[in-house]
Amino acid sequence: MAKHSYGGMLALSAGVLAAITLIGGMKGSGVARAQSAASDCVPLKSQYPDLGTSQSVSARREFTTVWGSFELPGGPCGYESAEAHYEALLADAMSRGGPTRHSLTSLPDWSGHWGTENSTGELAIVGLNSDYEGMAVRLTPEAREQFEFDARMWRENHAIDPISFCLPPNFPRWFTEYGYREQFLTPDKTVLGSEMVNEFRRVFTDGRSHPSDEWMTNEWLGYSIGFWDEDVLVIWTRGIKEGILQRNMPRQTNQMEVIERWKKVNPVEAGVDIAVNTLGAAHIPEERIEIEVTMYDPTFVEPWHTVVAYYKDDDRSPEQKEIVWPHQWDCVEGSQWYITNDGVVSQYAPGEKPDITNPDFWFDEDYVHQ
Amino acid sequence: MQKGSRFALVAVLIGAVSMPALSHHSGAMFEDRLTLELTGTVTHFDYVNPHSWLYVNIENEDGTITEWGFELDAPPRLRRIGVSPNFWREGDRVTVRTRPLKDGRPAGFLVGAVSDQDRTFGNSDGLSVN
Repeated sequence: MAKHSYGGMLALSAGVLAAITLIGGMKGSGVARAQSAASDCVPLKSQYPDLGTSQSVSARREFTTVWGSFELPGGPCGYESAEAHYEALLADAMSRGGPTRHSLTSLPDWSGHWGTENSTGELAIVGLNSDYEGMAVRLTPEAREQFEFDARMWRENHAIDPISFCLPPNFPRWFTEYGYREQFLTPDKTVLGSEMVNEFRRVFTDGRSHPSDEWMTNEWLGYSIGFWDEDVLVIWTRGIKEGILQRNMPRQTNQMEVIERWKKVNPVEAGVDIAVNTLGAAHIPEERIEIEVTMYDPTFVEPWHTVVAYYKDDDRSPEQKEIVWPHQWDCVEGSQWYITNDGVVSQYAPGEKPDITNPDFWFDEDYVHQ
Repeated sequence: MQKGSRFALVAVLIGAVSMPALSHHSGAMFEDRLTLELTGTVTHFDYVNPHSWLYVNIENEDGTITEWGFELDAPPRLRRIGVSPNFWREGDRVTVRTRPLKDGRPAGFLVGAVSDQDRTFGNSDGLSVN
């Protein structure tokens, strides 16, 4: 199994810094970790060897990769910030003549419809050790206290999940949701789509920076810039709304920043045996996209790193072409969910909820006022 | 299940039945250790996000009919397991296994089902429409 490491990265030279300025993207505040000096840090996996913090619990089983590494980038305790992480990746690309300036024809082929293997269980996501203890040790004391409170709310059915109100999954929760995934690649911009809630991330690779403070806001999916390092797409995302990593998982602040590295791999050619969890869908075993995801948040005592994978739906046959159709995601019409007067979640039974897709609902006075 | 027993529900206490995840909302409103088996006639199948719904007329012991709703996963997941928008049609006879709402209203989470069109869904072990 090939593993990729960015350990031992050289410090940025003046020339590299000048080139970084050219490609842009260096402006913006990195998020400093609570555990500041790398020299005196003690990695979480050393502090808690029994918590399995070095391996993702994904889809409730061993998660095998061809290329994506579970090693925390930047050394035992990781980089100080997303910005430092991005700078190091850019410097590495530049040391080899990069970043790569692709044309429409030289871009990798990520076409088709894909599914994320990480959407098969609520906790099978961005979680390095997704059980409660494994997540709690990753948090600062204040954040851990909040997490303990939130966990109790979930247990007592009082917690509220934003997407239950049809709000979008924020990022990086975006990775954990289901539905078809689509990628549209151009030299200056890559669009990463998720069928659920019709979400499309725009990753600019045209050299622009993140918005300045004058224009920066916090968005569901944040602002993403990046560059190509041969066939690897590197992404730095800032300006994300505060939220939760997933249901039953810790909160994230609006200072969350995320570094991703995307690459398509061929498990068959690599000789890596992967038990792909497709929920039963036909897939193409020779095609897989692996994504290294590293999250930086002031509430994390160490960057939170994991790997996500997409399998490719096989829609080559006429029968599969009939099935594989992404749709407009309308959350409201099918949502039967509400909160009772006791503050717990409940569900409408037949006849209790007006059919809001029925025109009579909008135009029939009796219907509206029933 | 035959007449007279359709609302004499078969309640089964379950230990560790594996349930599909509810991705859009918590499953707290449904019984987590109690399942019912109900037989009736499909009225319609709503193949919509974020959750699909199967509606079935269940005959009560007194001869009246109550329409129940059973929640399933979203179409993107149903497609992947081969459940089409016409997997169930109006008039199909079905027996469903459900985790009902805790408060007794006629709705629940669909654990499994069999139909008289030989279509099976989820955990349908032991279910029969006859």
